[in-house]
Amino acid sequence: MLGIATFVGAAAAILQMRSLSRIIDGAFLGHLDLTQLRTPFIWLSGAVCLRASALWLSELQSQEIAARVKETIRNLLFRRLLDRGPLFTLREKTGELAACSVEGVEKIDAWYAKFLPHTIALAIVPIVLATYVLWIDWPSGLVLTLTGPLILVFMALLGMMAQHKTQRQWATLSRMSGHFLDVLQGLQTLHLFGRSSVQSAQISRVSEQFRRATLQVLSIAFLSGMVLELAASISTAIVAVEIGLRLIEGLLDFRTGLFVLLLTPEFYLPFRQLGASHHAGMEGVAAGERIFELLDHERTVGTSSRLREAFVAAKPEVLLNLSVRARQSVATAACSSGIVLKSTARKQCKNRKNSDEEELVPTDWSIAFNVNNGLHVRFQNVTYQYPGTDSPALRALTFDLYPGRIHLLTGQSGAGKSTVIKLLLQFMQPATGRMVVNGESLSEISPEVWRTQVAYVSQFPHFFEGTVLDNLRIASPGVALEQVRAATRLAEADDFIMGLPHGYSTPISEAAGRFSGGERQRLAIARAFLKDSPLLLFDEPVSHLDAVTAIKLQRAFLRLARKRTTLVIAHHGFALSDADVVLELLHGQLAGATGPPGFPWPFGGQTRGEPTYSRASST
Amino acid sequence: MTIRWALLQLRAHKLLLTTAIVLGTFTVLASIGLISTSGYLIARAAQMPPILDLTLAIVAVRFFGIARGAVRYGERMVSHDLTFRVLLRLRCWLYGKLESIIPNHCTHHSGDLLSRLISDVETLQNLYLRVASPLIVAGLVTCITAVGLWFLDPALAIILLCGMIMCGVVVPQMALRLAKGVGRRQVIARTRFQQYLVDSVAGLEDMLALGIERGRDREHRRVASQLTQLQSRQARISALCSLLGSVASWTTVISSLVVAIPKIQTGEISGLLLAAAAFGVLASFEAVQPLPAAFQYLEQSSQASRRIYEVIARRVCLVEQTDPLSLPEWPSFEFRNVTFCFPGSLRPAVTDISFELPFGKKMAILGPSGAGKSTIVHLLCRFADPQIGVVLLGDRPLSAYSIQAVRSQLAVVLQRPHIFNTSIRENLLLARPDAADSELMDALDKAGLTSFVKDLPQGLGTIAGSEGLRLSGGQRQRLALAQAWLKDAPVLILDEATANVDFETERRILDSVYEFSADRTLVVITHRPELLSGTDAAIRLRDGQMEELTGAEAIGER
Repeated sequence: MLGIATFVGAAAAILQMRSLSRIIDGAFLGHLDLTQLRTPFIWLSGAVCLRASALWLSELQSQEIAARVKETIRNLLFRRLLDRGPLFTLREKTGELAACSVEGVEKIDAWYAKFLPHTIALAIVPIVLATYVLWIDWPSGLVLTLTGPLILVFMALLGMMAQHKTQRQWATLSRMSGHFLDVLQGLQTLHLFGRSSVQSAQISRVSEQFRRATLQVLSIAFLSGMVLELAASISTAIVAVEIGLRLIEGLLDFRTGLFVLLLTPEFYLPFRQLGASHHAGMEGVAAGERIFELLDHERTVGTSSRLREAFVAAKPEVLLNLSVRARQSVATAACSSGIVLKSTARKQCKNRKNSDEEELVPTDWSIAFNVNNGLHVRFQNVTYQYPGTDSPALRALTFDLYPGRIHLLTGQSGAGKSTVIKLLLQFMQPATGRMVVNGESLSEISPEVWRTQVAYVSQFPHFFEGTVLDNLRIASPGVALEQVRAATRLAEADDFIMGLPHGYSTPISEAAGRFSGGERQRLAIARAFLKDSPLLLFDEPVSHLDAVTAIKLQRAFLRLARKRTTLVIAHHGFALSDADVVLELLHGQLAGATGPPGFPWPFGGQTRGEPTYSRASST
Repeated sequence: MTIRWALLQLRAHKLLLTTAIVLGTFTVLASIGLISTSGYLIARAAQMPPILDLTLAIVAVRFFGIARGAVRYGERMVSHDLTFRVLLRLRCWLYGKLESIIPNHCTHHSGDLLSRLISDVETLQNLYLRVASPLIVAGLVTCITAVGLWFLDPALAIILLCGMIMCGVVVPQMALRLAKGVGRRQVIARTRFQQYLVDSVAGLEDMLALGIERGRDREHRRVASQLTQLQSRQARISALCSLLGSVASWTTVISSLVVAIPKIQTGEISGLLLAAAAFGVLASFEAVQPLPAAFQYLEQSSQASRRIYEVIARRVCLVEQTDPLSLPEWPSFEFRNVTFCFPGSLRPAVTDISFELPFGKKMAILGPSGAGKSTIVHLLCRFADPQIGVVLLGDRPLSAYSIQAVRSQLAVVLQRPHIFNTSIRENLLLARPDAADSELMDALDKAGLTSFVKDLPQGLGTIAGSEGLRLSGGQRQRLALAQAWLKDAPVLILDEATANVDFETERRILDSVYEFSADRTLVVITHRPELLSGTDAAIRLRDGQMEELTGAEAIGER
């Protein structure tokens, strides 16, 4: 469609110039008056309208495509985030994903809205015009057909020469431009060391360096632009002179000469347009590269071809309806399949294609285990190694978690405590070994279903935008306020929530700054009460709480832990006195375990050493 | 209105500015010249004159053909040079203004403010390239072509003027009006989208653990599609704008022909020039092509300069004493009924604070976050003066001394210290410029960083900061501690300085701290009771007010 619009535009240009040359020829050599020239005038007006409409249509279309592809990519990025889970945020800088999805995706816009239509125009317009000119006046046509490819060759040569150098330079430049921000951010530090006034000179020095270096880069980068302009204008001059000389000889009639001369700038226009949008297009490719890298770590296909794939897939939709609502529909699903075609997510993609409402992959797993008598979880020789690391985080780890018991997981940082939690939340699967839940292998249970059975209170719980109340019943919508308050009372959180400016309806953005670490965790405990899951994972706060807060948190925790299977990551021994079982991790292995007398031991029926902790030795 | 000062920055580069504008105008004129002389050339040739008659026209055509590319290259170089010079001026100017303002905002969402400022400056640096130059060049080209046409026929000149105004002013302004509401809503939608994403990324673990990812995904889709719809609307407006522009320029060409043709018949206009005139009119529209973008950019620039102005307006004036006192030998500080409110904030950060900090005292400041603990450090360093009450140094207000002198007495480790984008060595040398490497290593050792630095391939020369080595929060704090040791000031202030380091390292660092501060004043801001063991007094803050001030109660905390 974009191609057709471009083609129509080129045809309209021919018609337009033909009518114009007829009018001028008629008035100049034919001495015709306006009434005699009415027909070419009508043709000219018609051609102007046709050409403008073609331009409008193609612009509208490329914008529409850009918008749809952008939306699809955004949704895919978010989906990717959900699919990969915390492993994703482990590897990528968290801020970068947001930046990619907001600004990076906007940069792709230039590729679709400018670079792509200009490339299409370059593929169609010069060929149509050159063919036509060859037909009506072959010597001028020859000039065009020879110079056109020549421009391309020159541009490619210069581009190749400059690209490597400029790319390297740009990297240095962006570092230099970061200097100003760095100085501003560190202004307080500079003040403290009495160095702030020296910085003004430093800023102007760095900016001056920046200017010189950038101009050096630009002097090369602009060269290709100059060659393009020169080639186009000199060729126009050649055509004009050549036509003029043949006119004198009488080898050509004025009208045709005029016509060809008018078409010549039109021939070179697509070259110039592409030259202008080339940089923006390359920026889009660079942004796209990063986005596709985030989408899948395999890079089998080049970025440009992926962008094209997405375009091809988005096109039919635009063909059908130009003013499509943003509803997710079949074509966008096709588009997404175009993008992730070669990605690791191929299987999921197939699922997505089938579902019209691009929902998360529907699951038909039902809970295959009975939780009425509580949850028993067993780690059997579980080994896990994070991607990109040298040694496993957990090595053949075996232990049991029993219903109604509090299990304390201790060990130095890096011993694998949080890996255990992540495995239990099914953020990832063990490399070898397995986890068994009430006799069922955990890998047979869908993460989504499994997680309904787990409550997780992290060290620094996150609360989402919305009110305090929204956040408390986020996992159990529709719960009445009374029930929520019952939960917060159990979690010792009701008092301080009521102390907020608007109580339960205080926006979290306003309230979060006032919460201490202990209060956050008590809120999360209230959230967990409402979720009411049989397995509780609790990450003790690292930072110290004052005595009152600690006691409140402990009371709330113990109420929540009652009758559940509880695993606590210990940092400072907060829950030590209440633990039934203490598991000590060392380099991803079980270094020791203690528990009440007669407790069934899963590790070969023996405990190593004397119990190091017991209820009696509480501090 | 606010944009004026930014435009004034251009005045300092008059020569460059003039050159750039002349070159820019000539670039457009060259292409008008090329196509009109070509038109004249073939019209004259059609009359089959002796070839010599054409020589001048041929030379002109060749000249314009070559000149355009070369002049354009020169124009781009000069105008970019100008842009970077303007950037330099803007930065220095802004730095001068911000020097006194920023420390006052560091305590609040400063990262946000700063990156916005930086991007606003970057917007303004293009004020010439994208706003001033296109507007001036379009004006000049229009005038020159109109004058040229006036000699041929005044009516043609008027038609051209109308067409140019239509194309360059009316249509872009109309588009701007149409897009105004959309643009504003788009900014809001974009911010919402970004916030939603940041919220989701930060809360990813909780989101999955709570099993609410489907709902969040649906909501994300909704927010994203809202943004897309608004962007599509804006795109439709700009497409309409280019449609109207193209129609308007050709209408001008057609009208000129309609006016000119009868006059050729009467002989008022030479038919020889008809082609040249028509081509010239067509080509001169190149000058107004960048105007829609320029108007849009003008809007953005004035918003940017308004935002910068808003920040600058929040300036706090610190009066530097012209005749400062010399420092007392043993600095002792005192807060007397101090109330301080951050500019722009409604609630005072601290209210009626009084305490003494004699030399050699070891004091702890306790309290929940947001209680005003860091504000005390802020006032102690004289980043601002309290609105009520006074901070004393040796019985005289801080303002009696030079600001430099006051700060030279304090070694402060901030909660989130800034590490500059330079080598670890340079970062440390900030604190003591003449320190030898052995002294630096000694300081690093006390901060528990020796093995870390030794393991780095380039040791002290390793680049740290946002572009270099990624340091953890604890490592940053320890680096700042090393800086404090190097500064060797009589008062050491630790603002939650070990909040991000593990237990054992903290123990070791604290031992060093107590040893180091044996003959100095020590202020520890914390909420951990362990840190109190080396202090002999404590104050507790809650909502900016002092709750207690007893040595005995503080010991009870332990």
